[in-house]
Amino acid sequence: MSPAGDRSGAPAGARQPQDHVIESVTCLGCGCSCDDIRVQVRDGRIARAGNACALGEAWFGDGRVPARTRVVDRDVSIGDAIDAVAAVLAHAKAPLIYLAPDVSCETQREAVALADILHASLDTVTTSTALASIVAAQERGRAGATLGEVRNRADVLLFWGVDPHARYPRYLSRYAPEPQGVHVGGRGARTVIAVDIGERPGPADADVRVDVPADEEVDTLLALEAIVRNPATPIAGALWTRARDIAERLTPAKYAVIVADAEAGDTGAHSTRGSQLARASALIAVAQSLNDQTRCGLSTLRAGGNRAGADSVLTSQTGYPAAVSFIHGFPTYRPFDAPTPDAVLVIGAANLIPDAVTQAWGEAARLVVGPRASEHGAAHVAIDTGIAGIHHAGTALRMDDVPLRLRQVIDGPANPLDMLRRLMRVTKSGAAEGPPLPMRTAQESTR
Amino acid sequence: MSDWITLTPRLALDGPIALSVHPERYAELAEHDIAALPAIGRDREQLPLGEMFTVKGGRSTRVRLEGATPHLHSVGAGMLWGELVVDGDLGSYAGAGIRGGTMHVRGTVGDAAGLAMMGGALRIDGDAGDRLGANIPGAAKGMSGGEIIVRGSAGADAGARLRRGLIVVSGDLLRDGGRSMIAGSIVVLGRCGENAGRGNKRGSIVACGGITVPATYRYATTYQPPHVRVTLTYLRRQYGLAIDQALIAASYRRYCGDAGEPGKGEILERVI
Amino acid sequence: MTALRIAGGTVYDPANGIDGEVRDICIDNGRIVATAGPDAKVLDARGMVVMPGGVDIHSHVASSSVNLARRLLPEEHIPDPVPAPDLRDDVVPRSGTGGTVPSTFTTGYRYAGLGYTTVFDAAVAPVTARLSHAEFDDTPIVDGGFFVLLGNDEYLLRLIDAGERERAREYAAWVMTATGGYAIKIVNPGGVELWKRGARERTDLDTAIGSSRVTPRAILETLVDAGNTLKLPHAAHIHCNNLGAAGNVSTTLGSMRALEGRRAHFTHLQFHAYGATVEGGWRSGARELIEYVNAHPEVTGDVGQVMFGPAATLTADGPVEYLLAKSTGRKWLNVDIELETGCGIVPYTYKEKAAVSALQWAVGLELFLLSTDPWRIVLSTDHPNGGSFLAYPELIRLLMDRTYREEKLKTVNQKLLAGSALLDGLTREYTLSEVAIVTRAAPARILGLTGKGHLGVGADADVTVYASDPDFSKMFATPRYVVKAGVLVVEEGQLRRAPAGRRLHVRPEYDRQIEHGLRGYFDRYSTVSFDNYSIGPLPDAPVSVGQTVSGPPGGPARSTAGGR
Repeated sequence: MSPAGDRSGAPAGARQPQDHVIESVTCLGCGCSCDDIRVQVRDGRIARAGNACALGEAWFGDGRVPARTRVVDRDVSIGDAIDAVAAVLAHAKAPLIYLAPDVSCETQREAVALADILHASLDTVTTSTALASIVAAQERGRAGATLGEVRNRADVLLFWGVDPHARYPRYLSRYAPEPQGVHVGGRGARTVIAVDIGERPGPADADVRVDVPADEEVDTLLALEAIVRNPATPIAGALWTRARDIAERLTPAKYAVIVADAEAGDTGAHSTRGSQLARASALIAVAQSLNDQTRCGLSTLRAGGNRAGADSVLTSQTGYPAAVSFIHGFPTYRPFDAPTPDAVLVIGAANLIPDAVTQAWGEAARLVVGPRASEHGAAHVAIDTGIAGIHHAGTALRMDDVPLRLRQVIDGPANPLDMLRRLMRVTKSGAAEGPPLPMRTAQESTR
Repeated sequence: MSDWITLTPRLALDGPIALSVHPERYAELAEHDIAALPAIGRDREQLPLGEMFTVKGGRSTRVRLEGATPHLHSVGAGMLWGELVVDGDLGSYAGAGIRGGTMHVRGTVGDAAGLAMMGGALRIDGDAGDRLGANIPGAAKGMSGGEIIVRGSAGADAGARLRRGLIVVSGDLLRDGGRSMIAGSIVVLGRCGENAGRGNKRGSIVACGGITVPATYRYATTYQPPHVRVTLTYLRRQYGLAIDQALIAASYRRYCGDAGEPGKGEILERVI
Repeated sequence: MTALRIAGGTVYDPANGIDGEVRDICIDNGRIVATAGPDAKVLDARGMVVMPGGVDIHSHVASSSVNLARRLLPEEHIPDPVPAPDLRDDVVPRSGTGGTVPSTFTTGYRYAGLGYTTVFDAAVAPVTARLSHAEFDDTPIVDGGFFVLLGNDEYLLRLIDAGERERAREYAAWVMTATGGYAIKIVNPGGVELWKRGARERTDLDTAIGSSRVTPRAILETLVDAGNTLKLPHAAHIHCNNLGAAGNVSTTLGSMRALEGRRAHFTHLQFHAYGATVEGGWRSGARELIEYVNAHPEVTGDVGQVMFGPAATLTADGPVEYLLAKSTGRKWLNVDIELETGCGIVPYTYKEKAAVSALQWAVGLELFLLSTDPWRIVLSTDHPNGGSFLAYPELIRLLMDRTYREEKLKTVNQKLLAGSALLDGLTREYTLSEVAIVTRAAPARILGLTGKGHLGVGADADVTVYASDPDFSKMFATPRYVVKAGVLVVEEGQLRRAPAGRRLHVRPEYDRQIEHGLRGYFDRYSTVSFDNYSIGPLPDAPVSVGQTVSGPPGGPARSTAGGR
């Protein structure tokens, strides 16, 4: 049986007329994953991404990506590069397969398979950016809603220290508060509460603003939960007064939605692991507790490139959403103590991996299969691929785990899914048991 | 039962090794059978214990691991009963998931020592890393029984989602101790770090050497809590901790919290 | 594919009237054949029991909600790691984790290891269909399909409100085709939508869902008629209102009466068979319910047995899980999904010493033991809601072994068992033939799968061979051989091959006019483009529609068994 990827879009390499428009294209520029993009193609390039926001336009670009395959700084055939990757992985003591953004769920599934048979570690960009919201939701569950429910029901929206304009530009116009919903009117019929937390303001045009000092964020959430659970809670001091003010705006809602950014880049300088967890946990607790008096869902914002897809695929196949080790021959969950790898296979857009992550890899051999891999200076082996949703069809998950179809809009270099399948064949056949190629890093070779 | 089984590294340990030591499995095993047990996880392989350790003795549930280094992790994890003494330092997951017996590390341990422990006792003479006695990541409940006694200091996130049992730190405890603890007790003889007891349900944090109580806790009373006296007396007698009479007889300010939860949790701050 | 001869086994093939006859079963090219050539590989099944492969009519194995439950339960995965099996075929063997909600590959391996070869996921939100297909792609060996949630779907409710039941039918057909689903699923009709609107009261058959024309009764009638008019192979699959509530048997009976004379499948009946005491507490309502079912041949059902131990309750019935979380204090996940349905998850433990657990356990057994027609009341635990599918062998033992059952009964909390027929000493013991009916032959027939659940010539070569054992839970837990589509997947009790399963889905014709109105609705309210909603072609051909005999399934002589 052919896998799901093959049923999802236009046949690869299909000959299209020179100039044409493709409708209902899904954008992975941010986690909103708007699927109403109208892509104009001219001369095999993207001429325009209609309906897209600035982030989306930048994500599509003109669709041109490099198409090199190199080992160290030598151009080689794809076959040779795959053999080189397989050899390094086979000889590594602690290999890591790392899923970067901009690959489809189909590619992610194959990556998990490879990590499994290699007894490697497997991680994703989620671990270093959005893990707190996931672990907190594992500990206590969560009260959530997909974006369609937010759009059609939310009459009170509370933006907790986030203004979606910058990083999730179309959230406001596509999901809430602007659209007319089935059970609620447009912007005028909805109440928008902006909670400004230190340097993280809510939307500028909110109906109500509440200012929360950055170091009182978790205190405020806990106090808010206390008041929601027990309206007779005594109120004393600024913290409790502020929490009561927020509670009084939320509890009359028919359907309240709390919007918070799950990406760590936005949680402020004070965010250690424990306080990130405490914050994520308290946000969930508030949303859950509001369901005693009204209905409430927490909408957690996630960045682009099908990050939620990786969480979902890893969970399906291993039981754990991120940070999995197969070193014992079965999945174990290691979100807080990733082993130090001696070889890393990056699958996806390496330029979107946080610096702290790549620094932690130290001297490990870098093998990159993904868009613009050849521009990644530290890569020992680089195989340029296209971008899921631009050059390859497939599936991606929106920030709320709703699956969306990815279309191919123009031809591009290799599909990472095919690269991984070839790598799997080489690995399975044992052909990778030979000695690894002698290699130096690109930097060393240019020194 | 009285003789010790000793495990000594045969070569320098130069990389991470998952070492599985289960005293309860050795009761009926001879030396060479113990050496043949698959016990070492290294470089994606499982190796028998004897491959890297010299085993002396057998048919006992008392085990001494000599020459331990922080490269060794998961030592004592999942132990059911018996006695395990470790000379030297250990890496992460020391004594994780212990169900019974006693494990005594005469050195320091890394992160996640006593993680999700269910019973027995884990004694650490040196310092402990982060997530001491905490929950398996994402699990609703953390440690559900037993005692962890650290003579040194401990890192962040100790006792997260603690369900039952006792964690004692003689030195200082870093931030986020007792996060979302459900019940159980954490006793800190030194300084207790920031954000202790966040989301506490019914648990008890005893801070003998100073604490910044979160703003969401409410002051209740100042008193001499009998259960603290009992606990401290027990710790002095059972583990020989340096607890003087003045500490045992001290008064404590009781704060109830955390907000959002039923408010049955407490932080007891020693009045100095 | 090599030919196989399963030689000398004692065959239980109730669909073909075979009850414990020693005979050979021959297999070639993935199907049962009359005779196999001399080159056929021979499996010596002498002294063993041969049955068709198991068919699970109601489980939760491949959906966005299942995956949310998986993610929610790391503490269940950690103590149940599953190394990759030692396979002998060319397939990449995969490791995974277990617990009540195992990872995908492990789910497929474990079902096959239990002798089950066909599994349906009972609750998929249409918008998430892509995820279900992806998960089934990763669930090897078993043939799989899913039921599509429609009972709280905004567009459907609008059509009902407008009195347009024919268009509602065409819409249902469109959804089946767009999602690659197999049957219409109704969960707490209207009640989930009310929960999303903030209502907390019970939903009864005539409760208005916004409009007096839209009621659970109207939703049930519309969708059951749609499934029957479209001649879908499986009737509408109904999870009634008020699941778990004391006194809900009246709702369940009301729903059955509302649909009297129409082919309909009522699922996990155990959760819907509670009477109420004067004080409003629980008591068994099983006898009342099963007497109605026994007398109404148009009704089919599965039991949804509760088994003691850990479970994960996961359902589209969001309000139920809210109440369960409140009463247990355990972790609670709720996701309202895209004007279509809901999702609620709470881990739960059924305890012998807990009065309600014991009652639920007893009610399920009463339904099994008081049912007069095993072709219409079949086995399920509503995995993982009432317990894992791994508990099926234990459940079979409870049904087959009266002494064991009575011993077990003594150990459970008796507080709420007053009035339970179980206390009257139900003496019935299921025979092997009856077990074969409730675990394969009947589910296949109720699902309209003509090639499944029997061993007649032309049937799919899905066969399970058990070594006889007086302890039936042992016997059914570890089949000696399992053949799936002619491939020997379990050999000498070991999983050896893991071929991909087939996708069971329907693609009914529908009036293309429906798309005009739908497109406008999508443009106004949906967050997913109409053009992206359909999952497109699937690799496997759809199961044909329109061949089912309308009306109730019945005894062994029915033509729907097919393939003879």
